[in-house]
Amino acid sequence: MKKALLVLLGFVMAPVMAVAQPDFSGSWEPDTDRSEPAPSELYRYGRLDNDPARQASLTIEQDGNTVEVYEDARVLTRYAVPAVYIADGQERTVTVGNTGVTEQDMTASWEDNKLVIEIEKPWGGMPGNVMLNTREEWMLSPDGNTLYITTQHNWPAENVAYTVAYSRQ
Amino acid sequence: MTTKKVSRRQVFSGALAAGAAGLAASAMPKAYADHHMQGGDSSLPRQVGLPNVWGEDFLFQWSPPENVERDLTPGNSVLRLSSSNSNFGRLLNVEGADYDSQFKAWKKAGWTACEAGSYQWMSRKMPDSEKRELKAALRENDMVFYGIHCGGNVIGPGKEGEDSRRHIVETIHEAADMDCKLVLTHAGGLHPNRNVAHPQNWSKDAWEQSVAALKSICADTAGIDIKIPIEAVNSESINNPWAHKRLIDDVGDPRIGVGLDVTNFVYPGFAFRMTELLNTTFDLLGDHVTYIHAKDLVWDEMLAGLNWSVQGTGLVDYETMLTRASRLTGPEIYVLIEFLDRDEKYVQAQRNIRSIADNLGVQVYGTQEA
Repeated sequence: MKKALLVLLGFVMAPVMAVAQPDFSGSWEPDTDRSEPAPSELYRYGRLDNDPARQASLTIEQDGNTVEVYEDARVLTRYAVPAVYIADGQERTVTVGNTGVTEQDMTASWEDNKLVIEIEKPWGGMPGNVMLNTREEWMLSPDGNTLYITTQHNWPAENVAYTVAYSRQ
Repeated sequence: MTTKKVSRRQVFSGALAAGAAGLAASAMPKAYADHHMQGGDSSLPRQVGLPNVWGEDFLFQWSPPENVERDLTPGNSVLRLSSSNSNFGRLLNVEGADYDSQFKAWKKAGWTACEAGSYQWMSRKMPDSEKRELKAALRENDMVFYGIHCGGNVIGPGKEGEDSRRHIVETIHEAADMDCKLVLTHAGGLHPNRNVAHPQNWSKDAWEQSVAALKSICADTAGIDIKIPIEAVNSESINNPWAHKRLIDDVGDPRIGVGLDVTNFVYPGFAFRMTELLNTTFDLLGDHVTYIHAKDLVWDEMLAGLNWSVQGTGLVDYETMLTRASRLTGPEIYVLIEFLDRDEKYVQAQRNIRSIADNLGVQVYGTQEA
């Protein structure tokens, strides 16, 4: 009986646990003091510019599992176009946003209190590029005012990881 | 997802690329032949450039068509990679050099071929005993010293041009003595520094000067079995694959070939149409392509600001370039990785190229240590 109650409690609590996922909605400014230098992701990786990538402010709208990210268009380092993640664990094949020419495979899911985004795509979004695998983990601080995005880039040339912090505005 | 993903979507299936190698207009799609080729059997282009994408209208047609075909079937030729990094991989003529140790280190790092820069190499007369030692080290380490990369400006004004032509002739003799296969050089420009564009570089006069200079070099080296691939560059008199073809015809010496560096003749109209440009180039020039420079680029500025990037990350379609290279007759194709600013980027670039080739089944000689 006690065991059955626990199982029943599990079913009752499941929706509650599902809605307990973090809400990233809001405006976020990069916090360079609490961030690690990020390699330039797209473009500017060549001979003339080895500076770390600049981070853009983010505006995030979240509705349940759907997370839409808008980046400050003045700093085209991260998305270049609005990104939409549906955190249901399903793999989706979508056009690479910054070129519109090639495709990428993308999966978003919740793991504990993190949004995990995995993307496999041609590095610069153009035909014939080397493949880049990216895993991002998005996590809020306990007070909800800091967003940490930890990114792992794996590609033949190198594997790099870095965390960028954003402060809620 | 693998690199096949791009072709699986068949975004690029369709119109432009000739696919099969060969120059006959009859083997090309009609739209391509109508645009580029004269009637009959002539392979001379009547108009340079890529075909319009969507009509004859008011925009520069710099965006790629939606249906560019990519035939990524690998060929049988094997690619050997070399490096232009003077710190590691470029052969230097230095007294007391331990070539055997150098080659062992290079081979371990994945570089299985090498070349020298002409001015450095010719700055010192290497004793015959040292040449024998170098050749023995090449054999011992299965390393190919395929060529000498010639600077200078063959149509530079006055003494600049004369000195350059003499330098190239001397370099060709030296390359033969070293059992090399080629001496790369340029068609030049009318400014003393050929990297500075001169307004008259694409005049009939400049063209005729380039042809005459190369004929003179061929005459002065007649009978020497060294290929003379020409590297087209935007700032020089030869700056597109059609000019390459015409130059080969006009000079009329079978040793004149192509040192293919596709990034050197990219302008904004080609930047996002590299798959088409590569296919057109290989279709047009075929086995005239003697060897290949591997670079990459991005467009990241308001002015036509094309900047170099690590190989495999920019606008060059490396899948097409590597498969087309592997379909050249070969049996070995030398691919020079160049124009990077740090030693570690040469390592990264090689990893990228090997990864792309491996996914396609293109053979790259040797292995790169982890």
